[in-house]
Amino acid sequence: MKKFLLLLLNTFSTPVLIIIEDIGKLFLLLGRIFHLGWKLLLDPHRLRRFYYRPILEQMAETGVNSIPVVLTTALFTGMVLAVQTGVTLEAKIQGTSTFIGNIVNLALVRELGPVLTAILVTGRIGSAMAAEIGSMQITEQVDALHTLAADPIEYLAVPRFVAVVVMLPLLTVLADVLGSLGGWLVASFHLGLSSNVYWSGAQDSVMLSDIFSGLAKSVFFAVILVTFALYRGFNTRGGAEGVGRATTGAVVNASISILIADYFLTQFFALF
Amino acid sequence: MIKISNLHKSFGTKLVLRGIELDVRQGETMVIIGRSGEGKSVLLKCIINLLEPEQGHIWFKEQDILQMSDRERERLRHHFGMLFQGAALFDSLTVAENVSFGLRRLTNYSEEKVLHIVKEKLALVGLKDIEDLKPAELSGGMKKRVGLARAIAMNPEVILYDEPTTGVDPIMADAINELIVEMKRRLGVTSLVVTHDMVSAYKIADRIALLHEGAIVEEGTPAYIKRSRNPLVHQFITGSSHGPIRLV
Repeated sequence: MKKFLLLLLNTFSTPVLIIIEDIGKLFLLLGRIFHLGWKLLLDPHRLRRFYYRPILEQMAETGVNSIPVVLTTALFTGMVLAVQTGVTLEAKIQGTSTFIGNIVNLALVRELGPVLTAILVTGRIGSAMAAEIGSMQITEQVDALHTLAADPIEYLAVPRFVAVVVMLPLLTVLADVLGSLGGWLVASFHLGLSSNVYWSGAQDSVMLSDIFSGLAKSVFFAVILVTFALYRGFNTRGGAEGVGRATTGAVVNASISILIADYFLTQFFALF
Repeated sequence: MIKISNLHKSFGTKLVLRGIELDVRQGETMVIIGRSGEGKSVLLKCIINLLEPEQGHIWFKEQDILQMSDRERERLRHHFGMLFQGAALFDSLTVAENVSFGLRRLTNYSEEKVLHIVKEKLALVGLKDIEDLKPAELSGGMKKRVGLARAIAMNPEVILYDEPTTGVDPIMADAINELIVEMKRRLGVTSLVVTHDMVSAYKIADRIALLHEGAIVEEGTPAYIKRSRNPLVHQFITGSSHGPIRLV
C-alpha cells in the first residue's frame, strides 16, 4: 500500500508541480500587465506617442475583424435555440411555445452570448496572438525588443490586453442582439408566433442585472483568453513545433478555463 | 572595456557556461569561436542582460553589470547594440521603423532628424531606398545589414554580433565581414563576435578565443591561434572530426 502510494505520488507530483508553476507564472504575467498598464495610464504622453496606434490596430483586429464570425454564429445559435425550445415546449404542453422569447433571450444574454463569443474569439484571436508572439520569441524578436529599450510585456502584451478586454464585451452585445433577432426570425416565420409575444417575452424575462452579469462575465473571459494567449506565446520554445504547441495550448487552456469560470461566475451572480 | 570572470550559466541540469574568463579591450574586435551549442550566444545574452547568470561577474567600464539595479541595467543597454543571428527584424514594421525603433523610444529627435539618421545608418551598411520595405521583402544578407543598421542607430560603444555570417552565401558573408571591420574603423566601436566561421574570424578578429565545454580554453591573435599547438584549437580551426572535441 505504501509502495503504491509512493508510486502514485511520483507519477502525479511532477505534472501537478508544473501546473502549479504555470498558474503562478500566469498570475505574475497578469500582475505585470496591470502594473505596466497602470504606469502607462499615468504617463499620457508616452501612451499617446507609442501605444495609441498599436491599441487601435489590436482593437480592429480583435473586434472589427471578428464581427462577421461572431454575428453569423450568434444569429444561427438564436435560430437553433428558438426551434429547439419552440418544438420541445409545444410537444409537452400545447401553447407554451409563447415562452420562446423569454427562454431564448435569457439564455443568450446570461450564457450563450458571453460564452460563445469568448470561445470564438479565443479560436480566432487567442490562437493568432499565441502564434505571433511565439514566432517573435523563437526568432529572437522579443530579445531584440529588450536590447532596444522596449519592455516586451509593455510593447506586445499591454495593447493586446486592452484591446481584448474592451472589444469582447462589445462583441458580446452584438452577439446578444443578433442571437435575439435569429430567435425572432424563427419564432415569427417558422413557428408562427407573433412578434409582440416574442419581444414582450424577452422584455419580461431579461432584467438589467442579466445584461450586467453577461457583460461582466465577458470581461472575465477576455482576461482569461488574452492572458493564456500571451503566456503561451511568451513561453514558446523549440521552433515551428513549439509555435504549434503554444497555439493549441492557448486555445485549449483558455476555452476550458472560460467554461469552468462560467460556472463559478454564474453561481456568484446568482447571489445578487 | 568588458571583463568577464568566473561566469556560470545553466539551463535546468545542463551546465552551459562553466567559469568563463574573458577580457575585451576598448576598440578591439574579439571573436569567440566554438562548436554550435557550446554557449556562445548564451554568453552574449548574459553580457547584454537577456539572460541572468547564476554566478560570476561581468564588468563594463569597471562597473559590475550583475550587481546593477534593473534601472541601471536598462540604461546600460543603450551602450550596446546587438546583431542577432537571424537579424530579428520586427516583421510588422518597415525597414525605417525597424532602424528607428530605439531612436524613437529613447530620444526626442524630430521626425526629420530620425529619418536622416535612418538613411545615414542604412547608407553606412551599403543600403539605400529600402526604407518602406517590410523584412519579408528582403534577402538574408539585406536583413543582416538592416539588423546591423538598427544595432548602430544609437551609436553604441559595443556591438555584439551573434553568428553574423551564418545563413548567407560566401560573397555576402565576406561583405558582412568587411562591414564589421568598417564599423570598427569608422565608428571606433568595441566588437564581440561569436561565430564558427573561421574565414570570418581570421578576417575580422584582433583576438580570437575558443569556447569549449563552457570555458575559454585558448585565446590570442589570429596568428597565434593559427600556430597554436593546443589540440582543441587545432582540431577546431582545421575543421577535423577526429580529435579531442567529441561530436556528441
